[in-house]
Amino acid sequence: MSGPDFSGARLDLRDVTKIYGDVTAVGGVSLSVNPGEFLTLLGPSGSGKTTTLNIIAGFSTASTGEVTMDGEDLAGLPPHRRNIGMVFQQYALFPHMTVAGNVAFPLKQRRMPRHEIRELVQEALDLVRLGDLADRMPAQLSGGQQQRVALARAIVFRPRLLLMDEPLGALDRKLREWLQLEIRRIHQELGITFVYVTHDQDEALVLSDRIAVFNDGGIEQIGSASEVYEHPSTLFVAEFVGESTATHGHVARSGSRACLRAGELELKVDGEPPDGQAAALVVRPERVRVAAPSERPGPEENSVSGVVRRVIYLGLARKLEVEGPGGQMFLAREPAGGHSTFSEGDRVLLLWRVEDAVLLPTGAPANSADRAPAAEAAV
Amino acid sequence: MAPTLVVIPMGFTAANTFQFPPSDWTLDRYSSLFSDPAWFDALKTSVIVAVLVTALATVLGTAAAFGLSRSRFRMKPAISAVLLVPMVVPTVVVAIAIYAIFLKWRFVGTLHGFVLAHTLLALPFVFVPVTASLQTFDRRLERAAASLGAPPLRAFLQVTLPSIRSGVLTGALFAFITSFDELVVSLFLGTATVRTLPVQMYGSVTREIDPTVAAASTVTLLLTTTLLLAVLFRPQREAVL
Repeated sequence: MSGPDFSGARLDLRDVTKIYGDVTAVGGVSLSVNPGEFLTLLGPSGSGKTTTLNIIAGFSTASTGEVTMDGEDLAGLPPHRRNIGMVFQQYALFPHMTVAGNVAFPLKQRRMPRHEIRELVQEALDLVRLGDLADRMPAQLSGGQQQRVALARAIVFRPRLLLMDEPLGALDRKLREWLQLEIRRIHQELGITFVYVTHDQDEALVLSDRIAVFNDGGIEQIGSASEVYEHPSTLFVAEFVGESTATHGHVARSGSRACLRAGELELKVDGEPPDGQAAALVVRPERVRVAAPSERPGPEENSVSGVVRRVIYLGLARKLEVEGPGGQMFLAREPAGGHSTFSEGDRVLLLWRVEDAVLLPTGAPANSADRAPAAEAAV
Repeated sequence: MAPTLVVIPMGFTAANTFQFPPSDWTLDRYSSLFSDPAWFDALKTSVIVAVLVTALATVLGTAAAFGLSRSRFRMKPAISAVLLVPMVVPTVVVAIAIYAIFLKWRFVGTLHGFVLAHTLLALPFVFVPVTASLQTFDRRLERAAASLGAPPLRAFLQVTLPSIRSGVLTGALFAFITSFDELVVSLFLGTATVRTLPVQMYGSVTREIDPTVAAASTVTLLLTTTLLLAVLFRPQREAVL
């Protein structure tokens, strides 16, 4: 379905806010989506991602700020004149029309000739691999099929921007994983710009060129999947995307290098953070090596001794929860088929390379009230 | 139901009075219903008024239900209540009020007078089922229609209306029956030349003994029952699934 004039649109949001009464749903969001890019807005419910999507679609009006598509200001343009495709969580298929009728709907609105409509509908249904179900009613289809019809309907009129609002939220895991791959394939085949909303971090990592992590009405970080995962810029991102262990403490000096002091723990950190800064050291479970207590850490390794409290078998891996000094829980993941034989109650040494952990300022002073107590493991 | 059926054989009696069961049978009553101008004009007026009322009340009632379901306006419950007044207040009271106003407007004894008055009475019968249908309607379908390029009116006609059609049809049926069977207000508005079938029937039983009224009753009964059954048993696409 690629044509010369059928490429992705560029989308820019500048300082967009949305205020309902005293509630700021979206507070000063700025972001740019490149033509043909797959951008995911990721965040917990109530973080402003869906409101942002609705502002782009035109269902909601920004209180301040501007939204432009290819440089054209969208303010005052009603949704039906924006030419933006949208896929909803609950499919929103028209129940009184057949599959083909649903997919033809946007083309009829554009008063296309009948033979052209028939061709485009077939093409769109083939793209989502539902070509032979054209005459069914939506109620006769499974959830996954309905969502693929909704996708065909949203792209058949060749919008240059497609918005998707938690499209896989209502489907079971296996179907979701398969449809994620389908969505990626369709994105690559069409070359149009996708803006995708989800609260599922795995989905965001699989699908996106870039991820914008939303929290509390604002963007915490925007970057590629690996940037967001490997180099989270805030503690929220580190804890929301993937699993991690965060150790809260203060930056101090130990000899020639900086370290994080948290209770009786002293952990080496990279770089030269300012002394006394309240910070958290975040380490991903797969970066943590579980060793026998007798093992000696290398010069560029941190070590924490602890007791295995729980072993969770995940098929592909084993996850260990290890209680360190002061009762803090550390997470470690070992690939399946490894030689580890540690079980619950064993005394172990946790090791990770200094460069594998990220030090994130927690901003607030030592005894900040709005932070969770000293240490926590996000699961 | 059974007492109603008694009028059917009575419409075929040859006697010049009400007789059940009839001793002799004839079709004379039906021929006078369709040839006697007093009866036939009344029947014609009733049908015309009922059809116009159905159209008007269905459009207005649906529009009111849709508008009120979408507004976040503080007076919403009050407006819904006002719309339901004709359903609750005794018809005589409504009739006197309408009569007083229509006298001033010179609407008494006119076709548009009947249509206007009956529409007022029929509105709540449309408003209630359409409001109920709208409550189960998924509004995301309208958003989907908009995102696909349908302006609001077309989205309403092509997406919303088909989804609430059972409520609208029920409302239209009740609007027709309300108008076609209406007596009290019509008694006030009727004149010697412009009157509806129920007024003619009422006059006929109070002033004279004319078995044509039984034939008229049978026609009314048949018409309303047929309509009711047609709406109840209309082919439903959902039922196929």
